[in-house]
Amino acid sequence: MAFHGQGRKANAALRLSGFLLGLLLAAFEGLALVQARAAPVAATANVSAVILAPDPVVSVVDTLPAGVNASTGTVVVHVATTSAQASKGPDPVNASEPAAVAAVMLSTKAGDGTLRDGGLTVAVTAAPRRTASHASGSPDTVNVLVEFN
Amino acid sequence: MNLSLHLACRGWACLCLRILCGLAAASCCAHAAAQNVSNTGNLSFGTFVATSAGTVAVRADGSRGQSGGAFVLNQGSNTAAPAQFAVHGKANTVYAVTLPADNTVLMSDGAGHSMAVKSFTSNLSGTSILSKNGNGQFSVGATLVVGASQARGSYTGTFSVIVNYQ
Repeated sequence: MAFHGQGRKANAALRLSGFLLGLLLAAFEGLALVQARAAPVAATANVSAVILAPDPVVSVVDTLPAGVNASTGTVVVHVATTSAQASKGPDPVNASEPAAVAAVMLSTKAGDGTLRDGGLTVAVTAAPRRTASHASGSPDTVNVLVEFN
Repeated sequence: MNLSLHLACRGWACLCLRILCGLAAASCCAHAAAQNVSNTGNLSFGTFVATSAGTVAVRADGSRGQSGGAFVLNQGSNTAAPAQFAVHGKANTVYAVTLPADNTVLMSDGAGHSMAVKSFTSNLSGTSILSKNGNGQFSVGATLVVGASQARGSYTGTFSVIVNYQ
């Protein structure tokens, strides 16, 4: 009889511990599911920039002539050398020209496209580039021609 | 009694089996739904000249803008580009991207000069959904604040994005 009672107790203990383990397992499964769904993840990227020397830089500001439509007109900027001021074209400057100083146009920057006081402000930035034929120590001069169409 | 113990042992065997199956399933599901985001391209503002204070912006679509005394240049090896990220996870999962707040990201030239980065934007509007294969991608642009007497040189920094799965 006593042996029978001990068996029952053992059986009940087994069932209780099984129940508790089942609860633990369910909690574990639920936690894993929640983690798999909600965990935010992150990544890191590099960011870079290069600032070139602003000198020597020539800045020219001109205004749009009256009668030119600022919204449809175009602005063509030529960077010319001292001896090739009259040359025309989208890129009249190159080192092979018989110029003492060539120049590379860095950027053109128009305004916001609206007329201001009858004109459109255009800023041009260019940097002189010394050629081999140009004597070192001489002043570098860049003529910037702004053509309005 | 023998029958009771036998049933109890069977119960334990079932429980053990369930635990094993649960662990296997959890491992399997965790692998299938492994969620991560990786950087596949860095953000570059490119090369520019700074004659006075201004900004240089690289948009998420890759276009570039300038304001003030900053003149962007299309030269040099440091080509302007937005950052690119690849997202992986469970198929059709909805996710959102958290970008850095304004002026929390600084770029430095290593010589005591710095520039702040602000206005981070991505090409995602609100949330996005991973594909059937569990893949997604997005790009990130930002605006660089250039000081009035910003020292020339190469500036670098890092920033992080967070992907929140929903």
